[in-house]
Amino acid sequence: MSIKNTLYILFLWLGMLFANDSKYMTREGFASFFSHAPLEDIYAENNTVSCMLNTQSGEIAFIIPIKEFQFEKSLMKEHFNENYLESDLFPTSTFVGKIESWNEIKGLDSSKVTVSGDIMIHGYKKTITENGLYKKSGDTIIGETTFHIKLEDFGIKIPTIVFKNIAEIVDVTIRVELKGQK
Amino acid sequence: MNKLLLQLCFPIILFGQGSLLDELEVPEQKTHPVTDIFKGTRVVNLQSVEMVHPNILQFMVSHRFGAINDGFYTLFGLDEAEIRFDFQYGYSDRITLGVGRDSFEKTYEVFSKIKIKDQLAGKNSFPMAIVFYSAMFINTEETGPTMDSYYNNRLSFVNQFIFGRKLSKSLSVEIAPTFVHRNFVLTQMDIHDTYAVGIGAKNAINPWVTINMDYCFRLGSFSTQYNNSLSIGLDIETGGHIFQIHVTNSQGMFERSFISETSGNWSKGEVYFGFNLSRPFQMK
Repeated sequence: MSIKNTLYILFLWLGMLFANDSKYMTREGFASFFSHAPLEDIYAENNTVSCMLNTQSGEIAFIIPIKEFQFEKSLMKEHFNENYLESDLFPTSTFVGKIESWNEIKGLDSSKVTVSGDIMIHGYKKTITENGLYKKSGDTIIGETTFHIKLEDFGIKIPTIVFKNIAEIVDVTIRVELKGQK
Repeated sequence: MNKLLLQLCFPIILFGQGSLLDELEVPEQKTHPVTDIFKGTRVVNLQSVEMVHPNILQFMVSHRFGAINDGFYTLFGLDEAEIRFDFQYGYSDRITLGVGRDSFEKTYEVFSKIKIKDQLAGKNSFPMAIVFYSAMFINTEETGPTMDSYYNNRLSFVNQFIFGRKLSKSLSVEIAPTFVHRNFVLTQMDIHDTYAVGIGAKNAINPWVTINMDYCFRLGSFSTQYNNSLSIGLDIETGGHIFQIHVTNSQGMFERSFISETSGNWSKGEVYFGFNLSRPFQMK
C-alpha cells in the first residue's frame, strides 16, 4: 500500500471519527399544520418534535410523533389519527436530508437555507426541497420552515362528503431549537 | 465503551446513510389511550365502550321498522316503525349523561355512562376499556285502571359493565354483563330480574365503514316467551354523522326491551330493518 493511500484512509478514518462529535439536537421541537377549507379551518400543534443536525456534514433528521398533535376539538384528533394518518400503523413522520451549501452556511450566524431530502408521512416517501431559516447563537441553533403538503401525495384520502371541511393542501410549520450534544 | 471501541474499528460502518435518524429514534416513552374501539356509542342496540367526546352534544335518532316477514302488504315492515331519539352530552372524557324517548310504551329514559378505565397502549398499557352504564326507563303509556295509579309499576332499570378491547386496527370486541330489573311484569310466568351477558363485535372494512353485530344471552331462569336479541349491521361514518343500518330481532331500542323482552325470532323471519343516525354538535 502506498503512503498516499495509507494517509487517505487514515484521514478518512479520523474524519469519520470526529464527525460523530458534532451533533445538535432537541426532543421538544414545534410542528403545526393548518388546513383551510370552505366549511372549517383545522389547526393542530405538536411540541414533541425530535430533530438532530450534524454540523460537520449538514445532514439533518426529524421525527414527528403523529399522536402528539393537539387539536381544538377532540373529534378532529380522533379522525386525524384513525381515519387519515392511521397513526397505529404509522406512528411517526420522518425527514432525512441535507442542508444545501452547508460549508458556506455553517460559518454564518444566520442565513436562509435550502433543505432537501426524503419526507415520510403515512408510510409514503417523497423527495422534497424546501426553504427555511437558520440562526446560530452560542450553543443554540434555531431552524424554522413553512411548506405545503399535498395530502394526495401521501395516500391520505378525503371522502367527497367531507371535501368542504378539509383542504387538499395543508400548511406545515416546523420550528426547532437545537442544543449541542457533548 | 463497546460502542466507542466498535466505532474506532469500523467508523465507516457506523456512519452510514440514515444513521442520524436511527440515532434520533427513541423507544415509545408515552402511554396513549386507544381510540375508535367502536365507531358509535352503540354497537347496534348494545351500548359500546365509546363515550361522547367532552363538550359535545350528540343527537341520535333510531328507527326499527315492522317485521320483514309481514311481506309485501306492509312493504316488508316499512309501513310501521318504532322511533327513538336521545340527546347525550359529554360532560368530560369519563362522564356522559343523556335523556331519551322511545315510542314503544311511550318510554322516557335517563342514563349515564361512566368510563372507569381506558384501553391503553404504549409504556403503561392496559388491555381493555371499562365502562359502567346505568339507565332508568319510565313507561308513560295510558293503560287500564289496574296499573294506572302505580307510578312504581312503570319503572325499569338497567345496570351494565362493558369491557371492550380493540384487538387490531380492524377488529374490536366487547362483553357486557348486564342486570335488568322490571318493577312490573305482565304475567306470573315472567320474572322481574333478568341477568344477561351482551357481546358485541366490530370489523372495519376501511376507516369509514364497519360491520357490527351484538348478541345478548340471558342467564339463569328467564321467561321463554321471549328470545335473545341478535343484531347485525353496518356503520358508515361520514366525518361527523354516523349512519348505522341493521337487521335485528328486537323492535325495542332500550335495554329493558331488547334484553328482556325481545319477541322477534330469526328462524321465522321475524326481524326488523332499522337504523341509528347520530350527529355530534360541538358546544364549546
